[in-house]
Formats: sequence, structure tokens, C-alpha cells
Amino acid sequence: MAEAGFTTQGASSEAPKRPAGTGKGAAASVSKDATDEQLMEAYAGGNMAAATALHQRYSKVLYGVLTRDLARPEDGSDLVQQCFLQLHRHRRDYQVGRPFRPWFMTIAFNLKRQYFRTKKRRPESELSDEQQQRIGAKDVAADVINARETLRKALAELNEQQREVIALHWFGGIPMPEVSEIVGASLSAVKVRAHRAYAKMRIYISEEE
Amino acid sequence: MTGVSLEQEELGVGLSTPSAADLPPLPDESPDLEAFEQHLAETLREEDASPFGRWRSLPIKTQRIAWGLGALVAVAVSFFLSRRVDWDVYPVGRLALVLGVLSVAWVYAATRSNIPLDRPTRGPIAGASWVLLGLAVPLVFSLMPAAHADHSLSLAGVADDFIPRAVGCLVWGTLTALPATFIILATDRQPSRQRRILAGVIGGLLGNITLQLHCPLTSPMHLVTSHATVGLVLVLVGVGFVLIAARRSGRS
Repeated sequence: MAEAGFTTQGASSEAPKRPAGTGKGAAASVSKDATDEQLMEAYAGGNMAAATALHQRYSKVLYGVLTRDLARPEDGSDLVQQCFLQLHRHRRDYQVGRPFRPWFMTIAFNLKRQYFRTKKRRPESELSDEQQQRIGAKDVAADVINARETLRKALAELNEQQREVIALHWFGGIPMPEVSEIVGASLSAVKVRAHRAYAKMRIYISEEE
Repeated sequence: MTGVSLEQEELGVGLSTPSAADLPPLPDESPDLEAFEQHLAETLREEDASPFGRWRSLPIKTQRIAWGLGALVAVAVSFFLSRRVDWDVYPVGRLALVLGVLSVAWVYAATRSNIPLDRPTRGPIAGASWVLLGLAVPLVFSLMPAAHADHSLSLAGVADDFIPRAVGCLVWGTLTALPATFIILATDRQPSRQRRILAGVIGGLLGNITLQLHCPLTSPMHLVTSHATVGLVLVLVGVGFVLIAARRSGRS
């Protein structure tokens, strides 16, 4: 079974009435049932506990969505760190009531495009060798390494637009309408890209096997 | 794609939602999340403690108001406190053209340099185009024939007077553009060498606006060497800071 995309806690339509968190600073608490939108609103107001909650919800999904086509794992850690740093810098631009996930994923994908376009590290994102070793996956079985490499090569068969759609839809478990919003294309175009991409990947993987 | 016509594929019509159900399961890509989150917390603390961290986190609208005010102050100083002495004889049409084009270019370039990441991003070709345009526009205006020869001071800046006048204008243009340029740099959420170059070029546009309001000299030679080069000076200043910062971070 393909791994289900990471689902965030608290759908927007089931938002509890109590606020996500009150007060500013690291000491302010947040409700575990808070929606992403409530957490982001609290974060924008200075609640760092809300920030931590968002980091915990989205770290794994960002790794899954952004890093599977990368040749170097340390680039992935760097990139995901940059995503959260940019979220921190953009927090006061968040419009209350706006769906959080497509907004944040748009930031993440725009950042990824720029990150590898310029192919330069930002000074504040430099990870030491020790940090890279700690953050990188440890004790990975050979079959997992092979599976990752096969997937990475299959993704290399796709163009950038197809890779993005696959990353969001398959790795992130994000529904197609939201994918179209994030990548800035029509739903039809996104579906066509996804169909073609999945077909190419099936062919590649079956040939590898 | 089985059962889907070419027309359907081309138009995206009637396509079912695609699925990865028959593909192998995804391998686990999780790193050590605890170590990752510790490093992230350190990064955010450093960001908030840094001199420009708070500036970068200001809402986009506030950032734009800040550098807009910086530009307005520069323009106001040039216009109200040090206006060109040949103002009354300078051709109105040319003045409007030069100031209009430079102002629109500056506002548009500064706004585009400050686009938040949730909007479509600019590619490297677009970025390079802006740099070239920012340098070319003042140069083109500087190379035009002299606007007039109806004021004695407009004919200065030649022979022995050339270098002092040129240096004076270069300093004026650079200094008046610095506040707004500095604010643009300080609020940049994705600092990079290319963006610092672009900020310098944008500053050059503003410097040319203030010089157009302040300097009465009309000689193309003077304009090319001291007005059109303000952008280059700001770029060199910005690149210099980048190199110094890079050496310091390399040493630390």
C-alpha cells in the first residue's frame, strides 16, 4: 500500500470554538485540537508554542514532499529548514481565515524552485557536518536505500511540473483541487500532469524490476 | 492511459482522479526529527535576535511603506531644500519624461524585489533583465542631447571643474538613495548576492531621480559619469558588504 499522505489534525471545517492559544511567547499553550489556521493565527500573534505545533505537524510531510527527488539528503534538511524560516518571516502576512496548507505549500515550492535555481546556500541555513549527520536518517536498511534511489530515478524521468504534482498529490496526500491552487494551474492541467507522471513512473519502475 | 482518448488527455476533460495505488509503497524519508526541531529552534532564535530579523518579519505592506517613505524623504530633500537652479528654464516635457520613467521604474522594481514567497516567483532571466534595465535607463537618459544651455551653471562641470562636480553628484545620488536602499536590503527575506545587486541597481534609479531634481548640469559627459553610475556604486557597496560578511562568517 502506498504510504498515505500526512494528514494534519483538526480540519478547517471542524474548528473548535476555543482559541488555539492565548498570549505571546514560548510559554503560551496551544490546544491539540487546534486547526492549522488557528495555530497560524496564534503564531502570527507571537505564540511560539503554536509555531512549534505547526513545525511538528509539517516537518515530516515537508520532508516527504520536497526531498524525494534530491540526490543529497543534506540538501533536503537545509531546504526544509529554509521553509520554516520563511514561514517565520512571512507569518505576519498570513491572512486570517485563509487555508493554511496551500499557502504554506506554495511558499515551500516557490522556495524549492529558487533554492536550486540559484544553487547557493543561505548563510543562516548552513548545517555543520555533525548536524547533518544527526538530522540525516540513521541506520537505514539497504532495501530502503534502494527503494529511495529507484524512486528518485523515476522522478528524474518527469519534468519539473509533473514532479511537483506527484510530490504534492502522492507524497503529501493533498487533493487535486488544492494541488492546482498550490502550483498555480487549472485542475484539468494538474490532472493531466499527474496521469502522465504516474504512467511514466509505472513504466520506469516496472522496467527496473 | 487506458480508456482515455487523446482528445480527453489534451483537454483534461473527463479524466478521473489519478492514483498511485498500483505503485510500490513510499520508502520512509524521515530524518531525526528531534535533532531537526532543535536546530530549527536555534535558527529561529538567531533570526529573532539578529539586527534584521525583526525587519524581515514585518508585514510586506509595512516594509513597502518604510522604503517608500525613505524614498519620499530623499526626493523631498532634493526638491525642497536643494532644487536645481535651472528649474525655471529646464524643458518641462523632458523633465516629466525623465522623472516619470525613473519613478515608475523604481516603484515597479522595488515592489517586484519585495514579492512574498506565496506569489509566483521571478526566474533568473527576469532578475538579470531588471538589473540591466535598471542600469540602462539612467544611461539612456544621460546620453540624450543636453536639455538646454540657458543657464550658466548648467554649462559647468568641464575641464578642471569636471571631477569635483562628478564626485559631488555621485556622492549626492548615492547618499540620498541609501536610506531607501538600506531598508529594502534590511527587509529582504531571501538575501542573496543577486538580490543585493538588484537592490543596488534599484537604488541607482532613486539616486537618478534625486539628481534630476538637484543637479543643474546638462552635459551628457557629466550625466554619464556621475548620474548613471550611481547604481554601479551602490552595487559595489552591496557586493563589498557581502564579501566582508562572507569572510567574517568563514572566520567565525
